[in-house]
Amino acid sequence: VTLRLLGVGWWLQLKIRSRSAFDGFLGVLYPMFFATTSSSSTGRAAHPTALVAAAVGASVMGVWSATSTTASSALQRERRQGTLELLVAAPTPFPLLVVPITLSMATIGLYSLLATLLWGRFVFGIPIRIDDPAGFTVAVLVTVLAIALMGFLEAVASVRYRSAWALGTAFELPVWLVCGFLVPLSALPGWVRPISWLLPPTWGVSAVKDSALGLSPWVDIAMCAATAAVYGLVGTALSGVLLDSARARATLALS
Amino acid sequence: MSIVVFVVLTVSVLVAAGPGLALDKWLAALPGLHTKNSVLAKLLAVIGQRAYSAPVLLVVAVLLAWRRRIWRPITLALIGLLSLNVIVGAMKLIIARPSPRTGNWLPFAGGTDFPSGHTSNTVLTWGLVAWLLLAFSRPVPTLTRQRIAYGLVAVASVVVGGASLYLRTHWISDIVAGWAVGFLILVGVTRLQNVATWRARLDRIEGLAGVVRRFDHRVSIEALRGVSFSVEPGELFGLLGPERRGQDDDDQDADHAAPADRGSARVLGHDVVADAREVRRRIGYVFGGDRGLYERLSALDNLRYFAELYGVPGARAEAADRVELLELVGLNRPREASGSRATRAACGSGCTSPAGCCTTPRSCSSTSRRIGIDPVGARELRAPIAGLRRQPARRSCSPRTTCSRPTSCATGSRSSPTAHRGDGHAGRAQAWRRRRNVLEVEVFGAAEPRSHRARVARRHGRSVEDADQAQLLVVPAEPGVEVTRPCSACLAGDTPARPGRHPRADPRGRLRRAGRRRREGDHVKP
Repeated sequence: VTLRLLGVGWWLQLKIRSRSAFDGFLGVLYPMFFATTSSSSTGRAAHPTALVAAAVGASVMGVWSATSTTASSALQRERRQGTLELLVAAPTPFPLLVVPITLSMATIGLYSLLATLLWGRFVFGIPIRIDDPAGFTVAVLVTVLAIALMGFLEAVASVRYRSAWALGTAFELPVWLVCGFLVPLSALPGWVRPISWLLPPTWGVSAVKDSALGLSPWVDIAMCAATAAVYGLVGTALSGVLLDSARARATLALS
Repeated sequence: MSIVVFVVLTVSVLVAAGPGLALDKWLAALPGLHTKNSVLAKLLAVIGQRAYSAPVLLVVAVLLAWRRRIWRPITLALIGLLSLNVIVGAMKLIIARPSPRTGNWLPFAGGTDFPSGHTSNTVLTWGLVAWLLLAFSRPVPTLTRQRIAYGLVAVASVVVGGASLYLRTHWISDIVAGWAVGFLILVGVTRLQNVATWRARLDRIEGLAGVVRRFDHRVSIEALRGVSFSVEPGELFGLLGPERRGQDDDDQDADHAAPADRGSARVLGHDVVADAREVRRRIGYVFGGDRGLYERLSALDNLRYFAELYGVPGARAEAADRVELLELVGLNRPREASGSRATRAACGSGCTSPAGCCTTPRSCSSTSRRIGIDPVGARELRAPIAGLRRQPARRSCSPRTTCSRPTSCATGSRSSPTAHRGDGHAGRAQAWRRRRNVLEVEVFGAAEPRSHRARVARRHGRSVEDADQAQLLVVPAEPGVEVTRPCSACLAGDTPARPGRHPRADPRGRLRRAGRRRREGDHVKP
């Protein structure tokens, strides 16, 4: 029943998101921007491995961008539509209602991932060579799920803030850097690394890169799943606290 | 989960191979566990001995039974103890597993150690003690207290299990199985109480008893002060009053959108605090306004989504019914995304949200005048709602303004009188009830009782009764004749929200008297 609920929720939320012309336009534009920036900064003369790493990093960057900015204001949109109260009053646990929303956002980001790789291939001539297709597929799916769970935590944490959308934008760019989307982690200062280890996309992008280059991605996939699970649990606990608080105050209004 | 643990461990023991036995042997071989006489461990194990816990349980049950004047606590305690003895005893005899002190871990070797009687007894008896105290206490204990009580039982269970392991009186699988059996019996006993409660209160749609609701955010407001009422099957119940008089809080308390500080509320036999999820599964709550749906989804998809959220059984199979429902309210192309038409569709069943109509609730609450339907919309809605009158669904609503928009709730009602007592934020509200072809309106604190009475009586020529500051207006009506709106128009000229004292007499009494007079054919005053 839970899987069915998640599936139906994800599909219908995906329908909602796919019917926005503006979001669709940005969805088409952003991957090209990411691929162009990443490929240009790496340079065509770079080692093929670096080029593949840059293309993969830029593609995951698209997934994160599609999720982070929209997830933070996801529940605000529900509030504006008048559906937030209905979600809260439903007998289903609240996290099971929010996760499909953020998962649909991350799924939209999957298009970005594909478009980025294709843009890099046909415009910049970066070869798409995936040595471990099975590992690559699993790594991409786990990364998308992990980013969706991060989005879930972000959505729940920002539900009471009027400027939630700004919070998402504020997180978007630092994660690009800290998770090694644009530059390798080895190029960052040592004190940044522990922070990046706490972020699931770090492990996810590493797994995707490794699988593309023929290295074993499974440890990174496991770490990505484990850290994402922690985010999911924290988000679940936080949603319980917030809902209790809302019931005590008899309002879901902004603070 | 408990069943799974129990089955896995039992099968593990019986087939003598499995993770449970491996853990048994590994733990028994640990050097820290020995058979020395540990006074502390023995004292802790006493918690799980029936000779001590059972009397405590029975004393608690008797005290609660005496206090509440019901036999149910004693009955449930006895059923729990009897079930424990029979089930655990039978299992011990059948599986016949020796204790770790013998070094033999195989079943059918002449022991009585599987499952652990200490741990099963701890979970059951102390769990029952906690549950009885929580379930039969009034006011209903807070969630924190409930968590503390059950947390203590869990700690006691773990302590007893640890003591048994330390004293090597049981294998770890015996202990876990004991927890599982105790938990299963405990759940079974509590379900028996739910069945009894369900049978007794199934036909009462909503009941609030002495509900107090206080808000301490920024300013301290006592929104509800000892509100009590009940809504019976088939009845349409409305709480009408000026803005911010607590009508919404009544509904929210009843539906557990916002739990009460004191008192209790039940919907269809379920406590709104203890069984919040069950309550939400059975109600259609309409928050109001023309929002509450996804405009980028078709009306049908909106219904499908909320059907999934609200766990409507056979959601897919009922899709055809939902199409009919949408067609009923004039939405001929339900697969098209259109906010305004979908809103209208959702309004059609008397609710303004898909969540309200797709669940086919036995109870439907709506609040807010924002649902207020414009005259054209109201006219269009009356026809389908009239068609729904014969359905057994019950609807209650509380438009926030006095009489300006009662049309949304003034249809499809039939039932017996109920009582409304207490204050909704000072309580100057009107309680509307519409029975079989009779509209009854209690008006509290009207500015000019006499003139008000005269106006209403002249217009409708029906019974009006004074009781302190309140009047009871009884308006019989022919089937299909609209009387609510004319009454609303009459009452709107008064100032029913004027602060004043509340009638001390029980409204139920007045209603009974009014009913008696009607039966005697003396309900029309000249």
